[in-house]
Amino acid sequence: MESDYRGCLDELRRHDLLPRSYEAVYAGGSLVRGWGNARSDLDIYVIVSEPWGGKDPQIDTVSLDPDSIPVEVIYVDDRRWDIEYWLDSQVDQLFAKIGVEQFESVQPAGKRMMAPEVAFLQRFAHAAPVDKDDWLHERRRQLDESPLHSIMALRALHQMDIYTEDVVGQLAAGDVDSAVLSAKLAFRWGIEALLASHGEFGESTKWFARRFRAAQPTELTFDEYWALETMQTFDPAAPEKWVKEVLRTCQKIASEIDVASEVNA
Amino acid sequence: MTQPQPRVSADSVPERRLDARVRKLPGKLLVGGPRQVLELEGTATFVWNHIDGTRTVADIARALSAEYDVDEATATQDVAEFVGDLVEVEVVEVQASS
Repeated sequence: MESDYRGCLDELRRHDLLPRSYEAVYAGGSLVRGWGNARSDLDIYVIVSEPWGGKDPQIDTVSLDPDSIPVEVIYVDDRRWDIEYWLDSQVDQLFAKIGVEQFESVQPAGKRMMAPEVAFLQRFAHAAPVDKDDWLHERRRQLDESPLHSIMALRALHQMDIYTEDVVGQLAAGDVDSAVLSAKLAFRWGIEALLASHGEFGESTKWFARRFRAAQPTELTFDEYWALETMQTFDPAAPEKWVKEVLRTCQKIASEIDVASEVNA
Repeated sequence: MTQPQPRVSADSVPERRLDARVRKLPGKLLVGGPRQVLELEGTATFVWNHIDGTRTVADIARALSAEYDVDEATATQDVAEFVGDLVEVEVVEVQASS
């Protein structure tokens, strides 16, 4: 699988998208993981020491210094490639957010992460080296030693609690429609917490089914998850019942996933 | 303003509040209400895990008595007292058994 992506380097050179000096190049995302399809993008990461000097890249915003990631987009054989240029110093800052010392912070560490940062961390586990593999191996080792999954699970539980409070308030006010929508959001984060605690954190719900099957959590079966996700038990005449079922499932998840296992390992 | 809570008896049916915040840590459970967080271990965790909105305090006490070396009368008293604490912290509500 990994050797399939080595050829990306020549393609980057051909499009003049490879800086003279770089720390590493690797591929990540659904295609590399084997979850992609004919329409999937290929995500390429170029780790650099000096800011990328492209003419007019797209910009992703991150809560790092500097707070932007240049992204070049090209099409190769009808497939879209997104090429992100991360400074090694930005990766240092991102990794500092998932250190053990952050675990005990009052502010949940993961809360300070933006979507591109979560995606960057998520894609590490299944990344395929393209060039200068040592950088990727060393960063993976650092991640393995961090409480990454605990932090991501706590981040998700924190979000779940926020939406749960909304649900309870909305039910009390008789705003059942809004409670249903908030319950869906609480459930999204409850499942995110569950999957994160089993090493399958992410930023998008579109891979929940795949991630759930990969994680194989013991706390909830796929069928139980899928029944709620697809609202199989939702009765429009009695929506509160479904809402309460969702919140009870969220509470069960919070009661059963050990959010400090990596810290105490 | 705090509402007066019903007295917890053997036939009370405790139910966890949907907005009770829970975190599992090694060997313990943190259960948080709007103003206070309780740290549960051992038998307290056992009781919490058995509160499901259908079991009475007596049911939970029987399960506790079977699991731990404690007589049923003492277990009932202890469970009722503990459920009272959970009600006070606003993580559990009780209703009389129907």
